[in-house]
Amino acid sequence: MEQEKQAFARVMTTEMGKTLRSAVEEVVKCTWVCRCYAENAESFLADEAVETGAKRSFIRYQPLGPILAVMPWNFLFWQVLRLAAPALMAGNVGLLKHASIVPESALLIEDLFRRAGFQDGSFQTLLISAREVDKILGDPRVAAATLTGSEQAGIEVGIGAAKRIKKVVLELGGSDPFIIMPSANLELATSTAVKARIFNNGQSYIAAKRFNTHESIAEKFEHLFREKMAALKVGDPFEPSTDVGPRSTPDGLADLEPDVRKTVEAGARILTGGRRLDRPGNFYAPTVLVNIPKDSLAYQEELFGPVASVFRAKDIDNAIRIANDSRFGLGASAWNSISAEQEKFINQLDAGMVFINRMVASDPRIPFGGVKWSGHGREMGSLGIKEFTNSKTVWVEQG
Amino acid sequence: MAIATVNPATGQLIKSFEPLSSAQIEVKLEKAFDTFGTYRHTPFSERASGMMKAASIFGAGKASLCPGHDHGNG
Repeated sequence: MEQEKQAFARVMTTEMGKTLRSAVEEVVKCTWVCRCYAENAESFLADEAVETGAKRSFIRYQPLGPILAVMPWNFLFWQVLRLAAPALMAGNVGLLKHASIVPESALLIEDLFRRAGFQDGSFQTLLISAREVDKILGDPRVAAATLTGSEQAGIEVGIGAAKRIKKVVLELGGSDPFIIMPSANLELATSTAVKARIFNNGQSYIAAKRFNTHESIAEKFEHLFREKMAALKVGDPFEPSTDVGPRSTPDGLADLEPDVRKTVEAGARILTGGRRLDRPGNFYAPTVLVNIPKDSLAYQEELFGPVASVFRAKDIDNAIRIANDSRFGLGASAWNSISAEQEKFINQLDAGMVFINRMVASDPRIPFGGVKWSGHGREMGSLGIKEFTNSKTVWVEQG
Repeated sequence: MAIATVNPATGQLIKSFEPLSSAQIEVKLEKAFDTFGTYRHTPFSERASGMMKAASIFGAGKASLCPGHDHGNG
């Protein structure tokens, strides 16, 4: 078992550069989502009685058909499995168009379901270019689609689905806020802030990207955060001691560099990092930016790499205003120990997920998804498995 | 973009793949559609058995799946 887990993880690290340690964790998490849905799908999809006065009235959840899954390279196993496990348990079948840079992982996942005894054709990988996606989505045999990826890819698949009146779930970008108030455990919050920014080499939609601290603790936080970010070990993702591996593609690195440079030209200041590393591979130094102007790229866009944008807030209302001043609305993490403040964060943050005193993380037991430009629909939990079902209304009277 | 594995830590091309032809895509679509016709009627117990097998192939023991599991993944 251990050998198999390591083999999957090594392919993941080779294909997109995540640390081997985190690749192993991702494999473990895939096990978790398979078990969760194996154990709970039947109860999630049980007939749901509705009191109407009819002899019997209820909702029955039935599968839709072949689901086209367009998936990204960053969590190359996990993001496929969190779709595949509920979709297959609901009785659908899957067609995977994975990112072009992770073909071996895509084929391994197809093979996994074959080895697990699923019918041939239950889950198939399509090694195709992005250009083919719309044609496949338009095929009448394909019932619905799901995409995790960029806004642009989401728009294209969303339009493609709309043209054919097909169900679509979109999990797109995020620029998640990470808010720290004076009542927080600052040391724990700061350590978690580092992890929340750099996991997966900074390439996660739910990574904390905008750090927003109350001004009374801002100086201390910035000092601690800078120290911890500067101390991270960047290097070979196969080395157990490596904290941050490379960006997954040269293009990703080429996009990140000007985003940081232009933000600095607009007036931001670099506390640490701010440069690519002078070595082969797509390596970028963990970076902390402060004094970020509102009209800069770091304020407006999602920086997809190990770059943290740090802001200061006058009070909780100001912290929430800064957090919500983004077109994205995926996750949000708020750190404080006052219950009234916690309620305010829960109610007022424009996000699909709010975590209090914890970093945003996906979990197969609870729904995952965003609002605004972060997409629509939910994955995981009982809501996730119902996305790709026909919620059939049934009304039965005495014959 | 080419369909290929390139090690991002070194820039080395590991393996490249030819995209499926239209005919190969058609075979896969037809297979998916045909499979759905029967698979949709399989009982939950059968699907769950396959899913548990998939979990075991991933190679992690049940003990490692604690509720406090906190990976940031995606």
